[in-house]
Amino acid sequence: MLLKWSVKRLICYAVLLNTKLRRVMQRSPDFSGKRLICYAVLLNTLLVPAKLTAGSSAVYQLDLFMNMARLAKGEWIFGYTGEADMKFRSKGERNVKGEINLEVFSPDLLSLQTGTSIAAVGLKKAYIKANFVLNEEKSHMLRWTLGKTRLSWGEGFVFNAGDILFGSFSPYLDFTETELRDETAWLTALNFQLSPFVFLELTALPPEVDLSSYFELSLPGTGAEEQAELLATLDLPGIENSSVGGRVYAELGKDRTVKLETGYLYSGQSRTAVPEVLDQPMHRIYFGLEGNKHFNWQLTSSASFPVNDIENQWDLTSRLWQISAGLSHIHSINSDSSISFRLETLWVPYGFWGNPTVVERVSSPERALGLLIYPEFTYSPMSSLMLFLRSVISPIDASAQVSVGADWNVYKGLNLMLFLNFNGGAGDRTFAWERGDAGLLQAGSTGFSSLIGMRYKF
Amino acid sequence: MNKKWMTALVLIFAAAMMLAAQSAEEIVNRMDREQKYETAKTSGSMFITDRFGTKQTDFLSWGNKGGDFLIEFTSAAEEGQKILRTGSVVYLFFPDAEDLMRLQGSSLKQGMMGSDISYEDMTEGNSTLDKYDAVKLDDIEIDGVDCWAVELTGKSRAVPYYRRIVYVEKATYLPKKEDYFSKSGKLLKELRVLEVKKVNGLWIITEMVIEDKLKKNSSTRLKMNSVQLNVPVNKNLFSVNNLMM
Repeated sequence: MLLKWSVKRLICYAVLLNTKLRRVMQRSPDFSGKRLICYAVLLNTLLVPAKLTAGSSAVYQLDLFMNMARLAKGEWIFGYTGEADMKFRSKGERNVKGEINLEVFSPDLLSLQTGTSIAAVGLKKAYIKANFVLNEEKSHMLRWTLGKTRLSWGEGFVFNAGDILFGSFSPYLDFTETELRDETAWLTALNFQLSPFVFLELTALPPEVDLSSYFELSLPGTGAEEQAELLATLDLPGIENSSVGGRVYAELGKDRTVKLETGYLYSGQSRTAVPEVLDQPMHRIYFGLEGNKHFNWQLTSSASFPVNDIENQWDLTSRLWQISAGLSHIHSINSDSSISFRLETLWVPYGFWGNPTVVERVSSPERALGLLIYPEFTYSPMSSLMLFLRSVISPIDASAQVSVGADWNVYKGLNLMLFLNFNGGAGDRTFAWERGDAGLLQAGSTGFSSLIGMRYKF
Repeated sequence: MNKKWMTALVLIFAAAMMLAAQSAEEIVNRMDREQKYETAKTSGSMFITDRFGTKQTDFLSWGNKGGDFLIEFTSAAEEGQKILRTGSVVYLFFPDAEDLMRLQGSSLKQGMMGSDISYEDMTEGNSTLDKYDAVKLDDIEIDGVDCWAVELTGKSRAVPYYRRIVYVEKATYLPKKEDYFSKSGKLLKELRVLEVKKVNGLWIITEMVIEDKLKKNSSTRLKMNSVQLNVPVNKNLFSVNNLMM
């Protein structure tokens, strides 16, 4: 109730209270002591609401693209893609942070013509982080994070074997996105800072619920009996489908040149689309190092094995062993221009090292291709302009996605962007020239697509 | 009476001579000392100008005498992004991905947020004579202000600029202007101090501009809107945990 008070209402109440207090004071022979207490109460009434609210800021981002794409068999389509992003963040209080991040999509932009625009709103983030000092002298701090957000474990821009929470191994990437890996989930995390550059982080994630049946419940015309039937069939996950784990982060050496990170997760539920054999509780562990010696380098390895005893357990465990490695370097040409490169790889030692047949893929759905490569070259002739070449290469099945583009920050908050995406490979490979999902204009889903558009952040 | 006046005049003259006779090292050491504070808390704006216009980026920053430095961007386009410097490592925090990036080595030569100020500029410590040899040049007047001119030459290849000429204002011991040169003698950047103010009895630079001499119409202007010196700054501000808040 206090939170809903506006400033004007607050002042009016204060004046009214003061008037009433004066009348009470006049009836009493002893004014000074009582008046002091009453004014203190009045002052506290004025002050208390201010402490309950912090400041906030709102930032909006609009991504709008025109897209021309080649579907399978030489068909061409033209359309629009885009989304709006709204972030509301707290500010002012350094030990507490809150954020609400909404994403808005309009089906109109996906070439479906409707009479009116229908917007789909997704909740990307909604969380609170709070810092507590345990021992200021020893720099022992505790941060509690609660809500829907992301924890970035491991190291790697595209391929990250240490991302045992969300999985960073899919080769299908949308290069128009600001962040290539930005999945979020409902979670709670406790981060114990043991020194400024060493911490222990514990986390727990509840299982995600399949909401498709809930949508049927909300459709107009669904009667009470039908609703009861649908509710009875809902398959709510049990507590064993939760995920619990932790990681240790430590910077080593006199100049903290090497970073070590290791973690464990009991994963009760997979958060990526996986074959049925992998859709079961797993133990996941990872170990990674990152440093710099002429180049920035990183190396991470992770392993997963089923919680329950199953047939061919060793086969499954070995095939889930992943190693990601990366190198990056920035070379300054002069004070304003630079060229940079990044090379990341994802190794699956017990994956397919020859182009698998259809029978092999069906009989071993958990087995991935043994190697994926991500090279990236960026040339910045000036600080506001970036020209880049990015690619995901699958050498095992000789296919690749290549994206060339430009990103020009012309005015404050405004970027002009161009992407040309090519998929090369035979029809049944990871990437294919003759592939086109009608109605989906995401970069990479078709043999060729060109996107030109703007991003405006305000 | 005449004798007393003569003595006073001689003493004043001697003091003036001593002042004028300061060595390059003394000037540079005093310049470093004048820019050393226990702690500093500032809010300011960075104006980055190129041929297409000027972009403004607002920030808050905290620093301590140990060389730790934290900057948090508050303008819409960069909101929530933070940069932390401690020792020879620079950390970048990207709030959208909740991701932390460590910069070391050659990555530090990149311009911060597209400006003419590199991460390497940020990591340079305040002990100038540890990294440079100093030679005094002829005194000079800049914008009507009396200055010493000191030429600094890098002792090793580890310095961001091989040669610098710094023009130190005699009244405040703050740099009035600095020229940065490559090894071949090419002028790379020019820093000009536009405004100084006295805060808590100390002179500080509140506005300066850095021009890229290799590009037309390329400059970065830093303006401090508020400065607090020697105020309590929690040391835990300069930690990975705080960066990820």
